[in-house]
Amino acid sequence: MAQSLLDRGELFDELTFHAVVKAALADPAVQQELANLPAADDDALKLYLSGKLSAPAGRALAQAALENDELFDQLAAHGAVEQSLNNPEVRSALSAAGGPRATLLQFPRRSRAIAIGSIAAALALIAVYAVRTRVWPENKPVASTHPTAPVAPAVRTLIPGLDLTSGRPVLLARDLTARSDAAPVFRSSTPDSRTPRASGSIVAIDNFEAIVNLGSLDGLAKGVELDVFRGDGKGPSIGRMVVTTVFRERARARIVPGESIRENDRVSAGATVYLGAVLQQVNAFADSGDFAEAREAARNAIAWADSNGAAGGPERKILERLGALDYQAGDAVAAEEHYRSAVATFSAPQAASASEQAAILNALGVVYLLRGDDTQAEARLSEAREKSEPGEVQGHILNNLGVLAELRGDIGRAQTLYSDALRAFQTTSGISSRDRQAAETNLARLATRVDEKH
Amino acid sequence: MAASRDVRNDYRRLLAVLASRAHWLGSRDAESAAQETLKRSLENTNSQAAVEYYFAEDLPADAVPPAWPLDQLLAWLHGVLNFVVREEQNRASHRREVRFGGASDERPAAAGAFDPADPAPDQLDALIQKEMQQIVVECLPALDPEYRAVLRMRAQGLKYEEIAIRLGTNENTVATWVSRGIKTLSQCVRRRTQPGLRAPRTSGRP
Repeated sequence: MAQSLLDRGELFDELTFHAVVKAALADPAVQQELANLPAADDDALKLYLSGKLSAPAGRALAQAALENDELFDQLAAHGAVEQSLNNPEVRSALSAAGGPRATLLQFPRRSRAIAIGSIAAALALIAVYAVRTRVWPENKPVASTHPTAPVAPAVRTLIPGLDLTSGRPVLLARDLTARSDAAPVFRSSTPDSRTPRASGSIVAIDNFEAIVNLGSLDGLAKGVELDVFRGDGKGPSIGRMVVTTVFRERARARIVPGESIRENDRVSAGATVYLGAVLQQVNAFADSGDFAEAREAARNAIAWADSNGAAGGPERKILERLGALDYQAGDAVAAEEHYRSAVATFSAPQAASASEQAAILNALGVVYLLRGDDTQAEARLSEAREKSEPGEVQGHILNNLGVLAELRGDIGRAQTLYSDALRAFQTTSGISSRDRQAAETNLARLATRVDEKH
Repeated sequence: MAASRDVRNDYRRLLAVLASRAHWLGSRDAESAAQETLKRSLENTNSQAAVEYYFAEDLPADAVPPAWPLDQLLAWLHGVLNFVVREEQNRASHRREVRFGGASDERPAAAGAFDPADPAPDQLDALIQKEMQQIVVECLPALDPEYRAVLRMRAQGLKYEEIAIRLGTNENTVATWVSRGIKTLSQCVRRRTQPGLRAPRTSGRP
């Protein structure tokens, strides 16, 4: 070969180059230099994916991602995928997304056996599921999230895992079951999410714009007007500002030209904004399962409203929510009291709309019914029916009046009311399937009773 | 570290990139959105350590690598920024003013009429996780079968090295499938978050 090298110059060059590189690579100094060389983004990405990128090189990749949008996006996408792989929804979507192309993926024998075994297991699971749903379709649990609603002996409200076939009427009311709409929890129940504040102060003023120490945590939003007060804030308003930008704990507001507003002046967005923020916090506590904190926050808000001249309209939603929370906590007496207080605010400033009145009266009627007070229940439910408009709440009311009729033995009237309720649900879009299912079950149960009599 | 210093200096380049991305996402106040994203990331213990390690301009020589890898941090930043911009847009377009005791009887129809307040870090974590999962689920059908096969095995807890052995190929090929897959995925992520055409990068580049 050595002889032939002399005849073939290119082979000589190639082997010489190879030898030089090999010798250089053995030199620790060259190795260090090579390690310090920035890898091309694509190569670095592949090394990163293979877990072969050192920590300092990872930092260099981070800096490269700041310069290269595509690299940033790719790393973010990879991170999102890796973080999501444990999620059942993602796993299921992955399974549904189809298998690999046989031409590209050659499974070794053992893997093939595993794959065949997995497919067989999946088919077996599907078969079992199909048999179960065909044979025991009624065993599907009712979707709901409320864990603690008390159950009266004769009637029940819709609760999780409720066996609709057990032969007891089911009542329906907004909020008496915990919210199941998976509304995002925007406030934490932990101490670092502070309680909303009703008022704050101006911390700085710059060119007709003030920075106030109230923010979205306190219910502020763009466009909200802030009243400004001097001194302890108990005197009359000295001016107004309009919120232009909102952050979590502070906001910027535009000062109306001509207003005499200074730093340290007090600001307030009013009772409705504040109580709205408190209601969010109450819902957040309840959604996280902390009913005691939720009730406490709601009670404090009501006390604040009573002592600050905001009783009435603004506190109605809090009263209604507190009534529901009391009921969920098993305190039907307190629930009744708070629903009655909410009813008393119907004609206060910011009067309740007819549909709002109907929903609250329906909830109060349900509480009476669960406590066994048929007379009061009938009065409240009838009143609710008069005020209701076609839709979900009307369906609830008709269903509950049906339950009352059934409890009194008036099967014919109960059947009519359940049918009306079902019709109300069927003709309204966006109705919870649980509601419709409850009305259907009530109706079906009555039909069974009529058949048994005959 | 970050709480007591001016983060605008410490993370100047990162803020510029976040602001630029916020601008693409349709933010009207991209710089505030970038600052809010960074602030929230520095409030979360895990993301704080990763942000400091990867992006602080004066990282100590003996800094310990964070628990979060780089891709997880960037996914988080992407999610938080997206969330912050969406919040800003909600505030600007959906919120109605509700006055108490005024002549108007305007009233929020439901609690939902109020804009949601900002989430605390722990809640934000859950929301961003959900956001990422949603992105992935929506974009999965667009992926190559090879990458999906790799992902299925990743979901079973296999490492890339083990996946290569199982698929009878080498690790480099798996890395190629993955990088090709995430290119598709990143385009999908971009399309999903991008309200319109991307505006040219206008600020922040040194």
